Amino acid sequence: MLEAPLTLVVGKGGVGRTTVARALAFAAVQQGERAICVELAGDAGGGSAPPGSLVLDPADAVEAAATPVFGSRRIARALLGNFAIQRLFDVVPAIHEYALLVAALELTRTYARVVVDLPATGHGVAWLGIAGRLARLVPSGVSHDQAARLDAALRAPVTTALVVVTLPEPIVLAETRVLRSALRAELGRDADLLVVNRVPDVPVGALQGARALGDPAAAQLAAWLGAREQVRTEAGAAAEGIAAVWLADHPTLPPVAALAAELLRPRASVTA
Amino acid sequence: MTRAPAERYVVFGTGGVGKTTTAAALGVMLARRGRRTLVVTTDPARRLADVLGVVASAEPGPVPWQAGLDCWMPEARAATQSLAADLLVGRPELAAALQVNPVFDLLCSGLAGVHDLATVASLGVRAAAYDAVVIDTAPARHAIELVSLPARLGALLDSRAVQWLGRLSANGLAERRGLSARLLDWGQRRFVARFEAALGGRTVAACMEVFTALTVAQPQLAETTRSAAEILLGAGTRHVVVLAPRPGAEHEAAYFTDQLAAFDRRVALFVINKVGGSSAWIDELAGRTDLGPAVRAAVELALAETAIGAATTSRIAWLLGDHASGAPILAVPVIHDAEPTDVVQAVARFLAPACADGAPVAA
Repeated sequence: MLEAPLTLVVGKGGVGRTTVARALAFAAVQQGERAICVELAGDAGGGSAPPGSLVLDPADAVEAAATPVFGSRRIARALLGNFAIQRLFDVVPAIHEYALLVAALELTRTYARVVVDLPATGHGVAWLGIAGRLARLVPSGVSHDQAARLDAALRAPVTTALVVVTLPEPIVLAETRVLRSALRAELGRDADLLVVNRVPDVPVGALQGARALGDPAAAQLAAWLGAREQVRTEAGAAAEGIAAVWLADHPTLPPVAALAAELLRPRASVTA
Repeated sequence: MTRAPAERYVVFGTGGVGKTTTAAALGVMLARRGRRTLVVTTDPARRLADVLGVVASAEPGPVPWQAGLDCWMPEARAATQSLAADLLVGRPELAAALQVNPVFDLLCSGLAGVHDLATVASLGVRAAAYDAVVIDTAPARHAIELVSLPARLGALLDSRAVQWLGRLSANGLAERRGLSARLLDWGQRRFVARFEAALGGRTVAACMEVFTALTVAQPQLAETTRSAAEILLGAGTRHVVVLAPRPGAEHEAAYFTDQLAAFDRRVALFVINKVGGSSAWIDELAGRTDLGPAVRAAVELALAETAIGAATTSRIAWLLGDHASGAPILAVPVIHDAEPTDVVQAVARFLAPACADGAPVAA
């Protein structure tokens, strides 16, 4: 489905972004490709990374990105290790995201498919503009070339695929629409794939059936189903014009709770 | 010393759990208790405006339908620029130079993190006029990165780091203007030269100008940062974790609990939103025999979801046992109201009994 060597997965915290990123890398592996999923250490809810995931330490990533800029890892470490620079980098916005993207682009030399689990920023696509802004700030030199190369890679659909993960909830979907228009403004391109997680199920014909019954309880069922139908429609609208994958919400009890429910169920006595 | 509001709530949660609605509801609850209340969001999206039914504004503005409640949705560029103008009021030439400084422009351009930085830096000043403040945190990279930001900013502002950068910059800029060739020592000159070789002289000069401005603004910025730290992590601040009744929520709860524990803080309240209670209509339909297969399937679905919601809620409560350390766990039912403002008011009524009135709780 996605052909570009670099795949960026973006979405807010809690939408299932990390799972989608790992699944994309695994899908590539199943197709016989050499693939890897890259994450930043300390990302919320990541849990322990499975094999095939590379978890980057933010400080290491910054040092690696600075190495070609300063000519050697030793000099980069010495300069960035300065106490004032260290404290500066702890608050400088977006520096870790930039370093993550530089590292990911570098990995495309080794891997056929590199999937980046981008940190949930809550800031739309601001991180996608980092490389371009840095390239404009630094007019020439290794640092400019690095930023410009990354910027060009992010803008080109043949190099970078953009995957947006969302939820079928009105507010989250509204943000997805804002994100897509920001992508168009910031990078001059749209997302390649929208993954809608936890889409509520609506049995075919149930809404019409519930409406036809006409009694108060059925009307409440119809309202419940109607609300679910509504978010499905809104999710469809948010995906307009691009490929979309809907992951149905098949609610299941955690095994412990399922077993507990089974044990609590009234049953005929065995000894009777 | 900038005074922090007496009552302070910080609301955490991942995406789609109803975090912003909960923050807005806390604001409504506090305003109804007669507190002059500010609800602020660090989420640049317009969620807070949507749930409160107001037009997003970059400055704190009133919520028309609730007396005593203001909301504030800082915008990165405006907040950063107005903060710089405030802090450099005595140095107009420096303020003017920043307006055309490319590094400062990059900082204002809405990069990830600028928004949090600008919000935290101005929070201390803006919140001082209120009795109560509620902070809706954005689901960020590090879920509670925001609360640690004042400490990191404080570490940068610690006189040694900023003074070192400021002195280096002032001398470096003076040398560039040819005032003296002996202002920087050999080590400093080599340090600057490495960066100039890597980033170009103009970029380094622009960085130096920003560092110089930072030195000038340092005392005031340190003050407002301390106040922001008091608001976000002070002893009386109540940290509220919002969850949804879905599998894995207990891990989210444990994550936030552990992160806060790293700052020696405990969660004051867990809110589980959108809990589906057993509804009479589901039970009634479940007992009927006149339903077609499609409607029957829909009723089974509603039954299953209700059961899962209830089981997950009690499982969260059970698994939180160790983590909650006495923090109440409040289940808020699904509220079927078309208007977001009605939902906020309904949630506020649920929250009120769980949030002690008056004196802030001890952490």
